[in-house]
Amino acid sequence: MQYFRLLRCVLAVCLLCVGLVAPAWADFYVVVQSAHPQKSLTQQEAVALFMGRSRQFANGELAIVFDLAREAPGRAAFYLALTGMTPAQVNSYWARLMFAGQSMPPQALPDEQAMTNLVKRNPNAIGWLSKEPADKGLRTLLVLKETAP
Amino acid sequence: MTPVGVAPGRGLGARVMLLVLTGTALFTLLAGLVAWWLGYQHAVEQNRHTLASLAQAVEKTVATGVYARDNVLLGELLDGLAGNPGVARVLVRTMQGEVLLRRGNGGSKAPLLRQPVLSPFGMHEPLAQLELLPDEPSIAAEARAEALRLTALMGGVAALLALTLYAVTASLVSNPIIRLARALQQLVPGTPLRLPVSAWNQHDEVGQLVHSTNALLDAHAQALLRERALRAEVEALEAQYRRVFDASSAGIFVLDREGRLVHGNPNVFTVLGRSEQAVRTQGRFVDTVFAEPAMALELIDASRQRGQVVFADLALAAAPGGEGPRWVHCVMSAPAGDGQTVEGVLFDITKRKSSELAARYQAEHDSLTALKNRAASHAMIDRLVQESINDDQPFALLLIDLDGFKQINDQHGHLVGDQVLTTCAQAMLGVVRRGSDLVGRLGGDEFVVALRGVGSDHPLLDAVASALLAAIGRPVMVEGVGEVWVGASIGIAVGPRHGRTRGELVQRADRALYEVKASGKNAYVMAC
Repeated sequence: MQYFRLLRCVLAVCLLCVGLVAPAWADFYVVVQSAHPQKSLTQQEAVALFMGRSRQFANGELAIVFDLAREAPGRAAFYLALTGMTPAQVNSYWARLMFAGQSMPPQALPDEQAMTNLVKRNPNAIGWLSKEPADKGLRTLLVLKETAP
Repeated sequence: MTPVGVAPGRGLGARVMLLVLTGTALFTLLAGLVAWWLGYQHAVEQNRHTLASLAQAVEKTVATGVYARDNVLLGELLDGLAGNPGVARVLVRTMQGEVLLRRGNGGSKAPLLRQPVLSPFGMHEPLAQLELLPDEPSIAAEARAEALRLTALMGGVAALLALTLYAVTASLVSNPIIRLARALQQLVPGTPLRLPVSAWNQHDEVGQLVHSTNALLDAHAQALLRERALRAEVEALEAQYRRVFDASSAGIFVLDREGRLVHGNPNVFTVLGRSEQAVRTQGRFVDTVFAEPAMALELIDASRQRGQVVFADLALAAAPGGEGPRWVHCVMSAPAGDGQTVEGVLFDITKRKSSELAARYQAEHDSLTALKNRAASHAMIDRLVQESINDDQPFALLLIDLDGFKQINDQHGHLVGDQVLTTCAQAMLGVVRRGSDLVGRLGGDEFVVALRGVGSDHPLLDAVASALLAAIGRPVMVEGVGEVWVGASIGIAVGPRHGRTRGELVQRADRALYEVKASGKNAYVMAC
């Protein structure tokens, strides 16, 4: 018994250490205004919106996509989870489209607070957060599991 | 030996050039065809590869453009592709078959190049297809240019190679051989001149050829010299022998197997007393020349069989216009192992033979009457006696004694007596048969006659005896003296009836003669 108690202690310490050293596997949340008619979103639809293929929601409403700043923590992980591409690949993708001058990447916001505020106010806005939104004014349409880089 | 010229255009140099040129042309043609084909294939393949690479290179961007439905981006991309000279037409087709965008519209039979465009996000989800139609004429032109370059290169290389080959062959092989052939043609056999060899060919096969030829020429020249010396020697020897042959006092001749004359020295014709022309044209030598050809042939056969030198004295046939019988000593030799020819040597021995014959004649004949003398008569009688015994053939022996000869001799002298004896002798010869019978003088006025084949009862015996009496009894006309007469007493004996020896027979005949003398002379009496 005593042996078991010791093992449990060691395990707990280990877990604590891991939690302190490496950031825990986090999920990403694609969010819209809570008043938005759309209830959910497939990953494919999310990719189409975030990568400039589509500009409207399922009901035909205009969709304005917002991104976080390039240096924002978790952005690389978000795009990896969403498209399977590294930030460099994503940049390259946008560079090709921008080269033709037709498409533009989503507008970038400085931080998740700004994202929360903007999406809460704009009925056409769609954005993403690295934490589950605590604000009642937001609705999560898609949860992306973080994948290994 | 006539020098064999080099036919125009058939020389080594010309032929090497022709062969090299022909070979090169053929090779170039073949290689050119292959090069053309390969070049064409390569160009087509290259173009296709280029287009595929191009398509692959723009695939990501096209995917982006298609995914983002960015026709401007796509348009620029397609413009870029269509600007490629090898591209006739380029278009993007969705998976549903809808053409999103198209550039160029050239019709071409070349196979379409399809590059699938995958979604940039969905892992292997096909989004659309990029279709490139190669521009056939431009590809063909490109391929032709490439093939032409390749063929020209091949041709150039082949021509260079041929030139090099020709130059090397000419300098190493054909030119030295041509020079060699010319030098050899101008070379006179037997001269000390030799073929030159360049330093370049000193140690190769051409050099070897020159050295071997020179060695051969040396050997040939030496052989020639030796042969000349030998020939001169032989000629000198032959001249010597010919002089001996020609000048020899003996007649030398060579006969063939049939006894015809093959060769004779001048003297043989002198000895024979005939011209060469006559000897050669008148049939067989042996038949023409010798009095008894059979003996000559016998001699030849003997020489052939024994393989030895044989000789004999042979009488020559009477030559036209020649005087008296002629004799030769003939030496025959058949060369051993030949069996074809016979060599003969003739010595004229007529003189010796005639003196021999004269001596014999003198020994056997009475010098006054030319009748057989006593010894010869005895010998003849002996022969007849022997014959009469052996062959049982009788013969008659008549002893004759002249009557009244002593008185004539005493009265008129020896000369008249001799004349009487000579006349009686001639008369007796006129009575008997010349070939077979004997008339001999035994001495003084005694004579003997022998009749071959005549027995005691032979009618010829009486006839001859009577004729002898008559012939002897004819008067003899002596100049300055007038006519003189002698008679004859004849005693006859017949062999073998009256005796089987000469002595016996002579004795019987003598006795009969004595009877005649006693009973009155001038008669004949047969022994009883």
